[in-house]
Amino acid sequence: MREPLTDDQRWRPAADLVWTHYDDSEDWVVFHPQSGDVYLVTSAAHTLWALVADGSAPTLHQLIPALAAALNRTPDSELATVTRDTLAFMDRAGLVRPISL
Amino acid sequence: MPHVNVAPDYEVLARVLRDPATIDRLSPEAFSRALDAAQRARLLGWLVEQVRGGHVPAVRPEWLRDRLVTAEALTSGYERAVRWEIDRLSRAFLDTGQTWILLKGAGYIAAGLPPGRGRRVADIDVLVPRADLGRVEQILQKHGWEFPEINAYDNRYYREWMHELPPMIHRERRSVVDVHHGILPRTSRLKPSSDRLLQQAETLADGVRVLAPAHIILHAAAHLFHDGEIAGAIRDLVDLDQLLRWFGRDDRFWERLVEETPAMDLARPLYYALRYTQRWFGTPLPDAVTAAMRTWAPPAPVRGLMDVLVDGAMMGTAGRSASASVFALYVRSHWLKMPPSLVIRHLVRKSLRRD
Amino acid sequence: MRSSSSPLDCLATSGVQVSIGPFLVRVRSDLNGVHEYLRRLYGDFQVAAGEGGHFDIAIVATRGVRRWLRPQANLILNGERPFLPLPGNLAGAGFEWSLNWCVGNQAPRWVAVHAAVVERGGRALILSAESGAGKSTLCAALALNGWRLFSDEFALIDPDTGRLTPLPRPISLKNTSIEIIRGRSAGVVFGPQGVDIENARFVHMKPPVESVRRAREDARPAWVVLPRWAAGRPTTLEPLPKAQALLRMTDQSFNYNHLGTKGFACVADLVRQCDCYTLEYSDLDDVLIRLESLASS
Repeated sequence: MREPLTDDQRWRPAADLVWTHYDDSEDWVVFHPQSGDVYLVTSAAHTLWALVADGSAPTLHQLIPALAAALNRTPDSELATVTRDTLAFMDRAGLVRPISL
Repeated sequence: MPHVNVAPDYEVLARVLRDPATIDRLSPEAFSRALDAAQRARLLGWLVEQVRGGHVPAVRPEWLRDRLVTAEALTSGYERAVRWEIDRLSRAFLDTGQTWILLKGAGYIAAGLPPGRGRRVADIDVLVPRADLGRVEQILQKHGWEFPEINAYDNRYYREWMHELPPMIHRERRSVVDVHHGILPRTSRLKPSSDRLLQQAETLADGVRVLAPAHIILHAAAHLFHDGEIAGAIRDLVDLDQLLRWFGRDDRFWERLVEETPAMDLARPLYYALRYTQRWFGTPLPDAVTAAMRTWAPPAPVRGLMDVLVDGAMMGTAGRSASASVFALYVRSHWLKMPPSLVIRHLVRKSLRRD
Repeated sequence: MRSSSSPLDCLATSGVQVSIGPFLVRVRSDLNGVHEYLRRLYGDFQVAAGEGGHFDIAIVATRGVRRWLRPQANLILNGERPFLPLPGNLAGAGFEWSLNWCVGNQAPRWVAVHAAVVERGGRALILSAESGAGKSTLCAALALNGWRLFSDEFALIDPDTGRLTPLPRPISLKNTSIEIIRGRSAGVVFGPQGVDIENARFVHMKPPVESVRRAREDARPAWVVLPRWAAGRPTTLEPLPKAQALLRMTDQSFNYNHLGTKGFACVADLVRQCDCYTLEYSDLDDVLIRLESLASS
């Protein structure tokens, strides 16, 4: 049994998500029509999703430095953990999907 | 003392089921009662499909138009919820190499079959090889499904006597998955082969698997004429009629059905399924099937009793005789599932408990 | 005073149809409590004898000997029984709870968000709060102080126009709110008082007649406010980030996802149009002044 959350698992975005942003804060609200759920996420989480959605089918291994660059932060172990956790949350919510082997 | 009649109007629903064109002639009030009765019989999706097909009352006040919009929205929501559960199951089983097959309502929805449209599904039923039960439990638990707290008696009832593990409930979504390793309990007198079901299962475009058409029919027939619940009877018969017409467009389906029925040891349930869909909905059957049915038929007295019970269930009429029919059917179902001595003990225990 | 042949006489037989906001509500009941409740609190509403409607509400006594020992009211809503039977003396309140279930779960054309709504100058103020935060008291006070009542329970948003539709109904008040509101207006009419399952005293306040008469006049949404009564706190109106307001509104809506993306977009657009705030207060007079100045800005 393989664990999709290994560093070299590839990811793609869920289709048909509705992302909403207002000028009075950095947060995003996302509606997932398939599940009917609504989530409030930070700008950083939205950036992570956008990186998954850019068509490159990235792995976690690739996402960490990409996110660091986008957020202008060092790709340290703290960022790695946060990226992994956020990706896991998005996976559970169905906002991103592992690409089958 | 004035008496407000709140019984669902199953009579108008039965008329509509037998001939959907009846809808065109119904008053708005009568159609409104049909909507409510359909919801109770879990057939709102079916009724909305008839409306989509052009059957509406001639007179439609604003409140009725609004009720139709509501019915469409509700049934779309039901289907969406099931599709999401199927998606989450697919996610749980992704890259595990585990064989899993969707049964019943979730299967109809996944396969785009007519009875799946707008269908309200309570539990998702899944068939897995018996040897994999432990592994499947683990996979599901890893993805958020868990066993509720149940007493030792119910635990044994499920695992040893029935054909399922205790239902697993998702800790966040509160949705339910029933994992089966057979379609009838081990203690049943009939012995349909799970291996055969698994071997012939078909894979849909998205990788999800469902039973072969002949097995879908056989399972639906076994479910209807073996299961304890009679409230499901009306919908199950409607499902069977829709499925038989859908699959029946292909001649090879009927050949497979005639072949698989004895192979699966389900001749009696299928006989009843075909008899009553034909009787109630005029389901067209090829001659070869009608001929085969003669060899599957029960003795005339048994058939006569079943006629009464099923007619009563289909009419859904209130009153003592109907409830006796309900009870009788329930007893018969359990007789088939368990050796008789166990039935009495089980029934007494069930009636003492307040659910 | 109604004549002897009131439409309510049909309540226990063919039933009555009550026009409540945009809904035609069919009601049947064999219980005196329901008859009395409707007579006292729905006197300004259009009531006709008839069958059919958006919702079918039947509030009936349990049959048999039980009926006399411990009277109970069974609620049958569009054929379903989502509630356990109520004690007979809560039958009138049972009507309001039935309506809440119907609107929340079966509202056809509108996105229904659990919130209070009042209107002033064609603009609607949406009050969204947890139970017990004082929303109904505030709503009642506003309705008695220059604001038109839309509803104390539901904001009905038309997904096609984005406007709010009134649903004026009796306002539910609990415990000390009852005395507070009674003390603020001489003419206020209350239904029978009861005690609910959580041992709270409750009463329903008859909606101002003007709100019922103008129930067809919608309004555009202007403010979303999350109010919270807290002892000793000065009136504080703080801007609330819209993303949070949106989450709150979807969280409080039971049916937006029945309408799919269109329903969500409806709520997202409403939040975009509105000024959003949190509101803390302890002095009712003071908060009324504060909200009035918000309305005139």
